[in-house]
Amino acid sequence: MLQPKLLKKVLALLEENHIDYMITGSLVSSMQGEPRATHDVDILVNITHSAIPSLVNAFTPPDYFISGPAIEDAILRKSMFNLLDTTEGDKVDFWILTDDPFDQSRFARKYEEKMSGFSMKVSRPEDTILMKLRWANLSGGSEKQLTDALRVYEVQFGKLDLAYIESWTEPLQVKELWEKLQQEGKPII
Amino acid sequence: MLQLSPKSPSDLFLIPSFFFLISHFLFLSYSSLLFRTLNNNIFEHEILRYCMEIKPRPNHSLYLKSLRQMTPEQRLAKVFELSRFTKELFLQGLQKRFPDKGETEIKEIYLQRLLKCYNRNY
Repeated sequence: MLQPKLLKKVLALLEENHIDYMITGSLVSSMQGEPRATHDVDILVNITHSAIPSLVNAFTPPDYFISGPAIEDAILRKSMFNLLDTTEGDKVDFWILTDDPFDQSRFARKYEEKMSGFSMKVSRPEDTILMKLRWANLSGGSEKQLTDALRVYEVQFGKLDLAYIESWTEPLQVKELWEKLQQEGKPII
Repeated sequence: MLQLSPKSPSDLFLIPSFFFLISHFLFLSYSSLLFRTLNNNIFEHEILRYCMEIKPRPNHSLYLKSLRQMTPEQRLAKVFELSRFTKELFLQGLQKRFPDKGETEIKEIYLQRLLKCYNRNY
C-alpha cells in the first residue's frame, strides 16, 4: 500500500475506535518546515488494551506485520510498537502517551490539519521544534533532527509562541541547542 | 631508584634531557587539558554549525519564501513524492547492483535493507 493510503487507513482506524492520537516526527516537521523523504510515520497515541484486537485485525499478514503482544507490552511500559507494511517497506511507529509533563502538554495542544478528503491531528510547530531538539540531544547531535527543527523555526517564524518554547527548553535540557538554533536561523520576516 | 648524579661525562647530557622531556610532557598534558576544558563549548558550537551549515545556502530567503507559500497539504504531498522517488532510486540502484536478480528478489533485498535503516538513519 502506498504511503498516503497507509496513513489514511491508520487514521481512519484510530478515529473509528475513538483512539486519541497526534502525528509527530518528520511528517509534521515536513508539513511545517521543509519537506523531506521519510519511510516512517510517528504517531503519539492514547490507547488502551481494548483497542488491540481492532488494530491487529485491520493489518493482517502477508501485507502487514503488527504484533498483539508487542502492543500489550508497549501499553504496559508506556513505550512504543510499530506497524510494518511488508510489501512497500513503510512503517508506522506508535508512541504510547506517557505521564511526562511535556508529553501531556504537546498532546493537549494538538490541532487538526485539514487536507482534501481527510484531516489529521498534528503537533503544534513549537512542540515539533522542541521534540526535534530533544531527539537531537538524545542522539548526540543528529544533523537531520537539527535541520528539521531549524526549518520549522524559519518557515513558521512570526507565528511561533517563543515564550512557550523557552518555558520548555530547560526541563527538556535543550536550552543550549535552542539558543544556537536561533543564532543559526535565518528567518524571513 | 632514579640516580641523577652524573657518573660519566655522557650523563651530563642525559640529566637535562630527562628534565626537558618531563617538563615537555607535563606542559603538553596540561595545555591539552586546559584547551579541551576552555573550548568544550566552542567545539560543540562548531559541530552544530557544521551540522547546520554543511552546505552553503545561497538564496535561502527565497527558498523559505517558496516553502511558506505552500500549504501544509502541498508540503505533505511533497513528502510522499520525495519518499516515492527515493524508494524508486533505491530499487534502481539495487537492480544495477544485482542485474541477475528478478523483480521479486530485488524487492526482498530492498525490504531487508530498509529494515536495517529503521530508526537508525540519524
